[in-house]
Amino acid sequence: MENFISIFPGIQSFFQMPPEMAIARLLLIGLGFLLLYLGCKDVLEPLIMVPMGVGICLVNAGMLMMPDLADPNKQKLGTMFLDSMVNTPTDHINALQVYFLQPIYALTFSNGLIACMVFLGIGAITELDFFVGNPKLSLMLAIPAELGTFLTFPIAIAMGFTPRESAAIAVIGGADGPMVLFASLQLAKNLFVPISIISYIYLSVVYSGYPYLIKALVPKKLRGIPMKEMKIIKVSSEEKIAFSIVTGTVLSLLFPVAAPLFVSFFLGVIIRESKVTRYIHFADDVILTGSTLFLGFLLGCLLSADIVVNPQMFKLIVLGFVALFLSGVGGLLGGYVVCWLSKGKINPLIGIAGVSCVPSTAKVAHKCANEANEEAFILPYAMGPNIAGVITTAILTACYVTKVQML
Amino acid sequence: MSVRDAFIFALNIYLTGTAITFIIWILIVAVSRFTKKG
Repeated sequence: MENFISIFPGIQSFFQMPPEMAIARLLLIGLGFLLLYLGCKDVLEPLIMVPMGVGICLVNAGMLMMPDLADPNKQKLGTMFLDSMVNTPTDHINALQVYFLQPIYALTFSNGLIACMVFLGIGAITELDFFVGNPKLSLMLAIPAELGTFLTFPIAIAMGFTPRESAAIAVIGGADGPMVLFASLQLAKNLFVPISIISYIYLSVVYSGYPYLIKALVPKKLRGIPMKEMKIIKVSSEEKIAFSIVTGTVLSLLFPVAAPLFVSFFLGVIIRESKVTRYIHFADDVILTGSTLFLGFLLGCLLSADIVVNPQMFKLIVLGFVALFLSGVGGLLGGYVVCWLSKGKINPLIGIAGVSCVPSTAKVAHKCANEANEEAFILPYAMGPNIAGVITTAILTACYVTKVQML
Repeated sequence: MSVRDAFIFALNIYLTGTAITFIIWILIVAVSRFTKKG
């Protein structure tokens, strides 16, 4: 029997690892199937969940005993996908010869390039009209929607994480995938994989989870405010380009450590507004689509059994939920304040769009308003705080990355 | 780092972020006026 099993190293590897790891592997294969199914059914965000589900499923199936790169005389359990733990230049060169995804991981993940490419693509599809036309309202709503980014830090400290790890976890509250990737790569490389995977799974759940929060906290009468009296101010492309270059320069001056993120986002916006069609297609169809595919697939391939059995994983699952829950509550509180200040003319649901997660939270706000009142069409208004949320999350991420490194 | 220190640190970050957001708002208003004049 043993000889027969040895023909199939993937099955044999189940018997060569501790039982808890083998069970975790089986569960992860099941999780991969589940994420793929929910992604295909549009329950979770398919752009990330489909490649991630495939990655999780196949990386945990395709394990085998192979030579350890650090000491070729030893054998260790691994895959032919990639090794995220290589450190020395020699190990990097050796890994490039063995693992088929290592070139993409080494060139785009370990330096944060993938986050910048996603951000460039997001910039190229972002409509800034309502934000630049109504900056006060948009920014006023984005600030309270960062409640999770603020309060998760002390909660993570209380749960035993270091300040650098806590800051990387707190950024999940900003609900912006590229920012979470960037912060965890800068501050907590040891937790980069679990933090990124948890944040992307939660961000996919936002679309189906936030409506329950909205219905629990906002009465139907307020959810149905149509906002008909509010005009959308048309903003010229020149104004948006001027805003992007000035804001990008000022933010880069203030936080050079996060300059790659700022430059990527504002370059994307400027490409869109400069109306160079070929660049717009390249940024959207090629860079954003390609980097989202590889982001999902590589994150899935990084989720192996040893990461799941890490005792910190459960704490991260709790903290990720807490961060996004608090940000949602903060956003709705901000919505209530502007609704009260406008004497009931502004729908409080646009507050939750300040949580960022472009454009999911804006769509959620619109969907819930539309369910309460068929005449309520708040999507264009919700896009303002939605974009402001991206900018405030970038600012808070830059503050954390800069200040935590000084501790 | 105690939880109290962590709270104060995070509050500091949050208020810094709010102040910078205020600067961004001023920048948008300034850029808007400048481009409209131009």
